[in-house]
Amino acid sequence: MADLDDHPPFSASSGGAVGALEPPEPPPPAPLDETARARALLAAQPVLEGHTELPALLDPEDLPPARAPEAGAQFWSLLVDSDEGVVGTLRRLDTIRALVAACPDDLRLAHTTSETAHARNCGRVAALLGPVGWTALGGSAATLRAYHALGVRAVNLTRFDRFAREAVREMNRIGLAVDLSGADRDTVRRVLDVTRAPALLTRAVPEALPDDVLRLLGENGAVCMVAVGPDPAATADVLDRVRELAGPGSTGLSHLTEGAEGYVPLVAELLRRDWPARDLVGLAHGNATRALRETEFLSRTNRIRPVAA
Amino acid sequence: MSAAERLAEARAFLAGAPVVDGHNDLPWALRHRCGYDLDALDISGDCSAALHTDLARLRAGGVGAQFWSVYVPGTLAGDHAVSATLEQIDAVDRLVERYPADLVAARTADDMEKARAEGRIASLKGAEGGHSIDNSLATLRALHTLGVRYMTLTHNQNNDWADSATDEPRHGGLTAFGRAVVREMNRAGMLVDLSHVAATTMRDALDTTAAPVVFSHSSARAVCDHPRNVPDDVLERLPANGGVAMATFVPKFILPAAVEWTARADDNLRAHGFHHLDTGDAAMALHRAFEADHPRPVATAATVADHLDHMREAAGVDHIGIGGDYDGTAFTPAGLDDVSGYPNLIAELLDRGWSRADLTKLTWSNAVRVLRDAEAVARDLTARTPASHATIAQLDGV
Repeated sequence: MADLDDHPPFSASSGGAVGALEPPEPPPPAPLDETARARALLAAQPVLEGHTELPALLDPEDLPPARAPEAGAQFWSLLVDSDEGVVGTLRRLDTIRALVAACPDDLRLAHTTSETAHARNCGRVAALLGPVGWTALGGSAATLRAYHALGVRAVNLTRFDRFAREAVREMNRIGLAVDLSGADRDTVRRVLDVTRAPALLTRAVPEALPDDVLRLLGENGAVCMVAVGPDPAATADVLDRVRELAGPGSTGLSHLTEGAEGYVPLVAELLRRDWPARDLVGLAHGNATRALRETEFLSRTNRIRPVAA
Repeated sequence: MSAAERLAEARAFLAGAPVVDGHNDLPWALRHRCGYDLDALDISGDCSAALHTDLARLRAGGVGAQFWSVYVPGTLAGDHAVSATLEQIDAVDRLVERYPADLVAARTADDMEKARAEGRIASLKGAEGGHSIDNSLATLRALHTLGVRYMTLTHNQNNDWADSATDEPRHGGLTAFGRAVVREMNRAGMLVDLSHVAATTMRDALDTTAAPVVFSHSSARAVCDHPRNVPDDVLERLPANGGVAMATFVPKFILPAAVEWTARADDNLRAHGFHHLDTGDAAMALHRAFEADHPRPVATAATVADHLDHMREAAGVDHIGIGGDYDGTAFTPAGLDDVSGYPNLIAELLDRGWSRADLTKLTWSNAVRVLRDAEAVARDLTARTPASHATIAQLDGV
């Protein structure tokens, strides 16, 4: 549609012959430094954070809360003190739902990986609900199903009691991710024996996990979501070990700790350590998204099984 | 017209205007009889030996919508009450999931109409007693999200914010937090159910509510003076409120002779160390022995019709309904023995000259309208007001 162009290539006033004034060859662009590449990568592949806390004192004047840099989705923790139980969990859930509803330009509740992607495409941070604490189940599969119906998508399992085997099967059936943050070696081993979906560690502390447990988590396809501290080299060391023992499909990010300046310095450090882009995308959100999607798929195929009593 | 013809006419009528029943305790029966093992008590088969309710009898009774009670005992408190309520809710969801040809989940008045058009029984949930929310408005909203569409403010015991009809007066009706619960129910779109509550609580709730109320299973106190029934001054307020009183069938509430007999039978149970509401096998055996010596006065469909006649007079035909309380009561009226009995009640009312228009309001349209009106109020309040996070400590200072 050249006749609609504001600046036609040949105007009457340009005079001279075509090609008479060849512009000089531009200098080749300088290679981007790691920080710029990290920033570009995270802009396109925002982080799925494993752990977000409701601010202890939420002043309605402060809404919306400061948007986490480079985050595209966040699990909002429903862990409450063990004596707060079901009602404390429902109260927390209600507050988070109210917060999300109060910030429609920033946050959007997501129940599935497609809703997470959709929120990101709309420029919103997807809010995923979970994990709830083990004690908030009261040993009842009905409570588990109620949490799922209320939008919860992960349950933190830290001990393998009588109820756990049945609960994990039921979580597989209805599509709740098993969160093994804080679980000891024995619990991890027993849960991985039962579950048919990849586990999450929404607040992994790989330093506390022996090599064999990390390998086991890798075999399961579990995702160790690691907190990022102020020293990118220290966090990169932790992630290097997870990547080496559990595999590049098992890395993830949990949250920024006090003093950390976003995820860019970490990703820049990992670029310097020659992490390929594919592994960095997995770290940012790809691995966690894959684990959640597998949980959803398994649930769809499992729904035909009878309900646990 | 012969009795058989009347009954055939009643059945034909119910095919078009089926019963919305306000209260059925099947979930609790499944909990205490078989620990929710739905294979052990399969309601697609004949459960007449164990239950008032199964699918075939619901169909025979012309039931088109059922509020399943997710009752838990008022003696439970705190997290125990909430967890048990979640289990009851789950039991209803599993029943609906298990019998999709007969039951369908309903959360709105539109869902009820759709179920009727499909020929399935709309399944709604009602909580029975404010103890189910453990003094937490967040829990109230969670129950609504899980599909609970009414909450009876109390069961047989007072709670921290409302007086029960069958307990010693403690608050003189609703406390400030109790009124906040009512307002939050209005906002959420959960019907305020005033069965079981003290008359003072009924009046306070009517003064507070912005939406129509229900009595999910209560009859008329003027016909049978029992605290579980609704006094005339309250029935007379229903036209202004828009609510519906759903007449119950429980003989010990609706038949004066049965009230008296029950008082003596209860004394007998307590004398033997049982709770007077125990329906366990041992308690029921004792009950039967008492009954052998003291013939039990028997209510009939006519007893229920007497209440409905009065309620239609006092509240108006737009404000009455049916709430049998099946599987929540040991005894039932003759002819209304189980959920297949509703046609006998309709036949009785036809005999008394009730018009089809009035009967349609009684069985179906009043109850659907009340839910639809509550939905409209909820939409309005949700648009105008934020959710309340009031606590009982703030409002009542306890």
